[in-house]
Amino acid sequence: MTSYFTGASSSASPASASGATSSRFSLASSAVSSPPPSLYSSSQNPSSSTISNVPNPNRRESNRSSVIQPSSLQQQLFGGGGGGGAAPASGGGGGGTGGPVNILERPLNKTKGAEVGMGAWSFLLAEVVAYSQSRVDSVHDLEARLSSLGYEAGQRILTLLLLRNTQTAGGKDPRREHRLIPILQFVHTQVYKYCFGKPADGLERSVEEENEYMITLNQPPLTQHISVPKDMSQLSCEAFTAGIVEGVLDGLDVPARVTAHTVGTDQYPQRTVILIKLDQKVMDREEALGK
Amino acid sequence: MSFYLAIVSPLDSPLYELAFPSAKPPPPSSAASSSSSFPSWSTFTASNGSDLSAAEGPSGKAGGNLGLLNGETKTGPERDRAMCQMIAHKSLDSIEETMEGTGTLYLKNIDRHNEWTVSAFIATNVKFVLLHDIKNDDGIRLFFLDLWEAYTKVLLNPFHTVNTAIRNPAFEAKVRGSAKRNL
Amino acid sequence: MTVHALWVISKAGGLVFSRSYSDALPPLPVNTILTLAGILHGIHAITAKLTPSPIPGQPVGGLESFEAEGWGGKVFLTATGTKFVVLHSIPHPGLDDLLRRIYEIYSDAVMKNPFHTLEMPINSSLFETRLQTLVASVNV
Repeated sequence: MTSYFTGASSSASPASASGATSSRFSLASSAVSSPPPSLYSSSQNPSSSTISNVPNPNRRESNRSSVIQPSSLQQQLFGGGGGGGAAPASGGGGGGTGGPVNILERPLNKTKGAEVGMGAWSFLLAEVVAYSQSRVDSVHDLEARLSSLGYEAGQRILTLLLLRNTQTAGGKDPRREHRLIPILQFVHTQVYKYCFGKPADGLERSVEEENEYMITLNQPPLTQHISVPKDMSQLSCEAFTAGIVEGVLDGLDVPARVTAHTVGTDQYPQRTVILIKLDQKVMDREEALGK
Repeated sequence: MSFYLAIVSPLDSPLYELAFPSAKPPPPSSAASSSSSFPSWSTFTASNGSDLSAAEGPSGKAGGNLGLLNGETKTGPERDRAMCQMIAHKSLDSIEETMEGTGTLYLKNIDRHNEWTVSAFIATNVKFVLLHDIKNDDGIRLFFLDLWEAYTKVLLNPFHTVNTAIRNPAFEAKVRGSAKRNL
Repeated sequence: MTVHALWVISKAGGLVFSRSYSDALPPLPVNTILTLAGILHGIHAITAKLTPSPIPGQPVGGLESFEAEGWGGKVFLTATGTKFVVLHSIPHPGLDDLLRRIYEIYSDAVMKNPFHTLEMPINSSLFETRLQTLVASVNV
């Protein structure tokens, strides 16, 4: 038995050695096969007498491809939105029918086929959270960062929603809500429906404070796959949604401090409460407007 | 027979401004009265029309100062520009007062100053302020709606920061096009 | 069918998740499971190497299942190299479907969680509770 084993092992070692040599051979052969082009070109070079002649076209090619800078990318995508003064007004980009279209020429209400998958959103938000987390020290800062990102989104969502509502109404009498309760209902139904596909599950006024309102969502779709580690237990990634709400409210001239809290129930462990603490100015104005 | 448009941020800084003449031929009676009865210093276009381009020139740096500080040494068109800016910003108070009590976005004829009438549009955060010297409620409403759509699209550009000056040449072309159609 | 345990083995062969779901399985120390998972990873690699006449350009699958008296194991290899190993009792109707559901839960609760680092142990309460619900619906 033992001899068999030793024999096997001894026979194995030459095999491995031969394997090594064969691999060395193959290495060598590959080393031999790869030089010819370089030798060839180096022998070719003296005949062409200028070294720069041959590589130059290639270099120019690579230069041209690397010329695409962020600003020109922006122009390609959005037709010179911000800084670039050289952006062509037509923004066509010369790409024919498939070319980029200036953002101002794109239809605003073409929503069919423009939906984004939930998975893509989840990945995007996960990336947003991870990115933000790498830049902050505390849970509070992380929430503030997410909220400010949501705020930007909220400002844009509000404008878009109002414009769409007006356009579907034929542009006759462009309106917005200006009283507090309709505004909150607007957020509860229209904004949530736009963002999450369905209205929020509840809108309540706080019993203790007159200027506090709560919007609840039983299963927030945006953060449904996020589980917060134990050492950050007070974090709620729905701070992003809170930011959206704050941005919308601010756009409607209702300044408020909006925060998100995860208040799970047995049935809905991820139930989230968006707490809206209205500015005193809003309460005063409501008082003045009356009824 | 001209217009002055300003987009004003919530903190009352101008994001965009533009002055342009009306595309429509003026009705003879009002034109005669406007050219004769109003003092020339507040009329926007001079007779030669060259000042319009001069007024456009500085509009590129709309985010800067309002040019009111050294107003005495201004030449005619620049003084007119400063005048328009002053009227537009003066009317912000009455706009804010009115918008608290109403849900309408289009506030027509909110303020007057000499021959200028001020109409405004509340595009959520920002306000569009339009100075005009003729009555054209429907045209102005359509113009505001076009402007609103263009503004929303600019806003949807991720490279645009909210409440910063709009320097998109396509936006200006859009605004001018709509002004030509509606005003 | 009873699901005894689930292991998740990362691309590099490290055990990133293991949970036992039945009392029938003798409790093993974590280090032992770690070793076993490493060995399984190695066996999987060997079986992949042994594949006769592999189609060029196509990834070769390795060990897919193993069976013993009354119990067996099923290895599910994802396209990115993560392996799910389920230890189960022998008549196993619906095992393939179960593995697909596990993969789905993994890609939702783990891959979409910003607090998860790739190739690191899975530390997601959501993943555990969802698995618990799934396995409880299968185990009878």
